[in-house]
Amino acid sequence: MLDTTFHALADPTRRTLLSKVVVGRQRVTDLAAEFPMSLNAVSKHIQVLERAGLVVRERVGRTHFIDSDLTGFAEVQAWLSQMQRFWAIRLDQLGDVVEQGE
Amino acid sequence: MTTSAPENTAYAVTQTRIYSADIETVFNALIDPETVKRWMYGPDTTVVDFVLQPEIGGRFFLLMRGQDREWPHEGKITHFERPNRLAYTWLSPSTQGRETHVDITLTAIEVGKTELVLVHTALPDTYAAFDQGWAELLVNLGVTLG
Repeated sequence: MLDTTFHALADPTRRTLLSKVVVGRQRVTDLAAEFPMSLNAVSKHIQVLERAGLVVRERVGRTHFIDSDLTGFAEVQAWLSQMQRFWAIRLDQLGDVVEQGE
Repeated sequence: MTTSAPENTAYAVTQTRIYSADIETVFNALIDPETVKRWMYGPDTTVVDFVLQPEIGGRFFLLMRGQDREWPHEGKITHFERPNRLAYTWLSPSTQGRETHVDITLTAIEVGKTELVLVHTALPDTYAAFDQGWAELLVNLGVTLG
């Protein structure tokens, strides 16, 4: 699942899409109008973000909306926090080793 | 934060340190297996093995043991510029099959004083491009960083 989420984020268009959605629910057609590509192409990107648990789609009548999905966010944040701690501990220990003098 | 940091640190882990040591000493500590074993361990894990081929394209293998299991890490060296830069791909159980990238830059501030900047990213394409960062997204979502 983490790989799916990172794969979703590893595309600049999808990151831009995501940045617009996190400030509030967006109408899909409004969003698509902001990109120099077809609605179909934007839809495909949204699907990837959806599968990654980063956005959730909602239909109200005939209008499609997308909103943030915190599931994917939580997953990435957990990984980032884990790796921050991983390196923080080890780089402190590296300091102890190099400052002892060799 | 520092002029020697890689261009973009969005969606990445960044750590900066200043060590009272020569840049060559710090660089060697990153690649010499006997030295690596002395700092790469964790609160519950020990380094069982570390092997590295010190050249671009060279491979490294790191085996840690702890919590009743083994933690294999492996990767390939993408940048090797002694004594200023070492970068490699990084695969481990915690990356769940995704190849990530660790980039370490060393700067000699003065003799006996070295700055280290480490960036660990899971999104290789953000690496050199300006981008809205993960932290900023979370702020917009109203999520506090833990």
